[in-house]
Amino acid sequence: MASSICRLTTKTTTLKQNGMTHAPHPLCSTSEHQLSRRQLLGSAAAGAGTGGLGGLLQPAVAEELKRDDKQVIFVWLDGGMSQLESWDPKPNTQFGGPFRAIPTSLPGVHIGELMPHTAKVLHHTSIVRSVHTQDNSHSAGVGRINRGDPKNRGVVYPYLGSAVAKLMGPTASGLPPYCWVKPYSGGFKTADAGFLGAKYGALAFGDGKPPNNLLLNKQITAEENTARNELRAAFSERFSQGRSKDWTDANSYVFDVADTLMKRMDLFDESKVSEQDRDRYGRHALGRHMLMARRLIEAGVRFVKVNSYHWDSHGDNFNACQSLIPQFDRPFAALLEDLNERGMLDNVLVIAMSEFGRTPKINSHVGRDHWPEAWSVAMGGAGIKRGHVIGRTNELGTFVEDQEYDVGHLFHTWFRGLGVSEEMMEYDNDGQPLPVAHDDCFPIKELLA
Amino acid sequence: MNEPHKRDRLRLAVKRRQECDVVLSCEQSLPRRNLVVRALLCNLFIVLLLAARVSHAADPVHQQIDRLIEAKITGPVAPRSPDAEFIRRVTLDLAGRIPTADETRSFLQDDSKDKREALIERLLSGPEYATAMAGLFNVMLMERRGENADWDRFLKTSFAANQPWNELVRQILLPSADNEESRGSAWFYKRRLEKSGQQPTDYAGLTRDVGRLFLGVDLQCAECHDHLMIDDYKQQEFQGLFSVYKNVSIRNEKFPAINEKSITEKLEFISVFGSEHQVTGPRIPFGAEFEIPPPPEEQPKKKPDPNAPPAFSSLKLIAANLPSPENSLFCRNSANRIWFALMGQGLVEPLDQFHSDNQATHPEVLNLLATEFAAHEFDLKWLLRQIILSETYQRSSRTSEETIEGTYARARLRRLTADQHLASLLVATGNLQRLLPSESEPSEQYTELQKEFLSAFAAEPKEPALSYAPAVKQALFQLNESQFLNLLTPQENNLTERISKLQPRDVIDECFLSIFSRLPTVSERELAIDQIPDNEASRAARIQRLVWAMLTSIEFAVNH
Amino acid sequence: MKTLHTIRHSRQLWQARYSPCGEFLVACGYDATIQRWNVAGEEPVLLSPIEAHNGWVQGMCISPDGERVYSADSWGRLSCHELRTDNPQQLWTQETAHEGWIRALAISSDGKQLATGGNSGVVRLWNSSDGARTQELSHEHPVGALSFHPKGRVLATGDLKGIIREWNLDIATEDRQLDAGALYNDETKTKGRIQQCGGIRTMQFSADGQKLVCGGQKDPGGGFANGTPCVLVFDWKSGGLVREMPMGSTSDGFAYDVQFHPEGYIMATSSAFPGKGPVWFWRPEEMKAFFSDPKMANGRSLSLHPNGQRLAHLISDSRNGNGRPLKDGEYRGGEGVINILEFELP
Repeated sequence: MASSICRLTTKTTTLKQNGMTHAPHPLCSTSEHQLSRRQLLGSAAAGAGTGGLGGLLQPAVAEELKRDDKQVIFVWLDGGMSQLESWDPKPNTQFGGPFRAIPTSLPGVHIGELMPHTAKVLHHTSIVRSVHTQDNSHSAGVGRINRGDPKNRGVVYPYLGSAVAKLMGPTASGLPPYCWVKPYSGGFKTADAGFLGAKYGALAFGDGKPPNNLLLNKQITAEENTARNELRAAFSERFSQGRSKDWTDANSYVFDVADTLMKRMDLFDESKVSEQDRDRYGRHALGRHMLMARRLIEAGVRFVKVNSYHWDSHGDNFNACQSLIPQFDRPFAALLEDLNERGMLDNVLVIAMSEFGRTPKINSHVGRDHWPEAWSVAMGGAGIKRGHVIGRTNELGTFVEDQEYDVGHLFHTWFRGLGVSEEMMEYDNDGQPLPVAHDDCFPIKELLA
Repeated sequence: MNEPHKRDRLRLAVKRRQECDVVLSCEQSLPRRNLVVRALLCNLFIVLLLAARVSHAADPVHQQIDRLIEAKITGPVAPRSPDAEFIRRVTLDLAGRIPTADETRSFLQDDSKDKREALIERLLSGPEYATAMAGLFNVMLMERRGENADWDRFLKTSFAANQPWNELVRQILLPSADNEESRGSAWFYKRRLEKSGQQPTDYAGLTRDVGRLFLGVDLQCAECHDHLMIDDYKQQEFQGLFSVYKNVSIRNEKFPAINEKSITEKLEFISVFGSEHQVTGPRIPFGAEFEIPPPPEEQPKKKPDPNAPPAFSSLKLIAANLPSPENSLFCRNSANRIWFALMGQGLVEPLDQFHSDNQATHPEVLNLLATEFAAHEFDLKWLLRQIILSETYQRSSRTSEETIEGTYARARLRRLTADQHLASLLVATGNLQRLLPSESEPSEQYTELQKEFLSAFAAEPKEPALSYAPAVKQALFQLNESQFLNLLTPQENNLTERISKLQPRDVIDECFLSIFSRLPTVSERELAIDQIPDNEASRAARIQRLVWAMLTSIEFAVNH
Repeated sequence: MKTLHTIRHSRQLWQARYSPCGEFLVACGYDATIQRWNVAGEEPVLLSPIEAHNGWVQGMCISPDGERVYSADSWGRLSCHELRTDNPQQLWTQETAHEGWIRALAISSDGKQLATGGNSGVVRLWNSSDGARTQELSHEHPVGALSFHPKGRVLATGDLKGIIREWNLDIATEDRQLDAGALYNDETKTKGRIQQCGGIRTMQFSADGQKLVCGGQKDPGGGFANGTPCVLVFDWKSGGLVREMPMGSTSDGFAYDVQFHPEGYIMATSSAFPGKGPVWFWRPEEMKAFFSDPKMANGRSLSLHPNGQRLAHLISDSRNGNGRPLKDGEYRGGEGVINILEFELP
């Protein structure tokens, strides 16, 4: 039902939250163009999807960020991966399909035979098998799930990556907080940001390629680049004398981020990666993209989304799964192994999911259709426990037994696991308070470390 | 206003909203504004309007503005802007670009007392005025939804003729396919009626935009129920306007055009919080409902021509009554948006949140501008002139003293629109002639540069471009984009070629005049002169570095 | 075409075959059972099922003497059971005949040898009397169909990528390859798609051994990777493609089964979206099918009765639909339906 608490201008509070220290002047009653320092820096991040604060913070805040330097890899299998052929197999039952279940590194836990690599490292992640969501269409479902399906308040909520960029900002690396590795086109993708505004969008690397203009122009040497940037900063500095410094800072900030990115061109150079790693992740798109995700996370990006498309197996599901799931299994296992080996899983949350699962019923097309009723999501790392299986479906895999978890619960769990503080659990949209996740949902306690 | 109290009330409402069943009682517990009061306020406005019509003998409006603004300033006030600051600011506002070095030089050398007034008049009657206004209002009204040549022509011819603002709006609200000059005005509707992917036509979005842009009210939340926080925003205000736009469709023509169907019965709607069916005929938000005439008794047997005007056109009623001097919301919203464009701050903000709980920072100024604008028959040039002539507009953005935000004690920094920024780049680097010898025939190079520039600097489609929004992609563009860097290569008498043979001191002055529209300070001259070596071999490269650093500094990127 | 009987089974099925004597109809599918009906009398009589498998049973064949049924499942098991007895006994079984899914099973014309193939990409030969493994051939890609040549010790195997290999069983070597690549698409052909689509799903030699047909789909497009049902006819001697027989549209999907009629024409059935997929008959020497019926949709297999006038057409009855369609509070799965048809040629 469409209903909402809508916009209202409660300006004083907005200003306070934006870090203004002095009492607002009675006339100073608008929030939208009151460029406080923090707001501007946030906005500076703009377009790059670098929404956040970066190296320009007061030391105290920077210190806090460092301590909580949690990161996220979010793997999105667009179209809907079949839970019955992956995380929650029901072999030898009416809807079980042809595949076997195999034992995993977690005693007593089986997953689909198409995921032998993940089975070996399953203790590095957890599975929630009792996910129950509300939408069985792609057109609405993709957005609803990515936004955590909050209560409708008449605004477009941000996708998870934009939300994390907003709530946590970039890490100390100075790299944009929200990067997106995907097939097809890249660039500055702002749609994910919703009401947070374009600045919290994603910097997308289309098929792993760098964004436009990232390569230092051939006319410019590295020395010249440094020299011209110093001179630019000097002019900007002079301009800010007798004027607010915020605009100068914001402008400098985006140049700093650009410079940081330009210095990491190696991230886009596959030849920098060992042949062995490339084989372990697989040479296909999803393998290459997940390998890139690992490197971006190592470089300090806050949130990396990896997309894979064409998982919508309405027809010929079992052959499709046989072709598709191994493309996920191998790099996913390699990713968990690598993060674990580097001791990064304590700080990096890895999530793999789709907009829904697939119907237990196998249609005449030997396919499975959309099934939000009972499906599975893999997650673990940072403050989310690894090696646990939460919830279960009934014998036929048709419905959840006991407690169902909606994506709102998952959002709560993730934010908690990432250390988002209680007071940050509400956005301020021009005075309209908006809970960052569905009001009626709560974190899954068993998953919180 | 007791802000904490309001916040509490909001929180309470949020909580109540969560307990859906009690929302109605919560709603009722909010104080309801008496409709009679609103009606009285409206009448008062008309009285003021009439008064304005007979009080022409009073002080010029710009002086009245200054008096009202200054009365509320506490604390320090910035001095009047230096001439250089003023010429840059006003040229950006009225010509859509920075002044050329020559224009600045001669303005600085001009000793006449009324040179600012003369400059304003020159710009208002200059050839670039219409282009600048078309650019400004295109971005304001279309929010980067895409360009259209007919629409562009409509805007430019309208502004060139200084067509009254309300007439211009009227043509947008009731486009006519028959008038070749103005038919592009349908682009406002047509573009919004286009389907995006599999989404159905967004009639609600169009309804919302008409409210936002022409009346300053964002009724989005009132689509499904009375606004929970804003007493004034009732569902019927939205639905009444929605009933009009539901009957508008795209007409298949090579130019933007629409068709309208007759409304034959009232629109039935229901609040998501209630079960009571309500009905409304077409209405302008906060205005009276229009009567729907009974349909003609004899139904034509033939299939009617879809392009024929409807028997009952509610668009006609909207167009006749919305942009009128009697519609206070229209007048105040228009004045507020133009004030915002020139001052970087709205008297009411957010710009689309006009309601009785969101008073203007300077209600008297808003009323003055609204009534006088209407009284001057919505003469846009008149309004621009009055604001620009005010000391408030002409204050410097720089002062060493702490002024209080929002009081207009100093000029606010404003973002350059992407179009102003690009045009200024070409002017500053002396490449305008080469790339854009005439506006009607842009060079291929220009079109390509414009495309790349806008993709880096323009706001996203459907996002109002209101505040400064630096972005990494803009930085990357300025750092590495070849077409941009190419503007700095000496060629065809552009800036870097022109100054290549000058003495270092003159190089610096010419750069400052061309790019920052001012002369350097002593310390800046020292900073810059170090950049220019005597060594011929590296000289050209160092000049380019200097020009690049100035162009990419914050000073160039803002209207200050 | 006239429907004589309709047999329903509570689970979907992959294959229904008449025994060579025509007395039995035998079916297998999603519930890992072998279902038997005695069809000698007026009405089909359901016999006790054979329960010896896991997952799906997709490979099944009957010995030429009609005494035994061989079956293979998606977990890798190959079994042999009595066919005619009331409580059929298991005669032998190979628990792990293959690693994983066995998709195809065929028997030589003399009934002495079995061949199996599946996901593991190897082809194995078995002594049909005791289940002993006799040979192993490496096909490389997942095998979707195989068929013994009616004369001589020759086996043809077809795979996911549309490669047909001819094996000389005497010396266990590959003699040649035939190209049925038209039935396969990957990301290089389907823009952006990351899935391998299609493959050879069914394969059959003509009784004289001069022709080989295989079925699958062509040119998959759209979101669901389904294409136009298509049968390819090869001249076995030359290895050349005699005829490409596409039928229907891209929503009609796979030709799941193809059979030679003793008179030399080819019968095929197909299925994709529920309600889609025609049955068609086509003489290889002609340019067009002489019979096609889009109403005989959702087809999985065709079996000609030895009398040449009856056809057991197996279809799947399982509607599609997103979300939670409950019927009487129950979440139902699809069913298998075998239509016994009597037909005369036009």
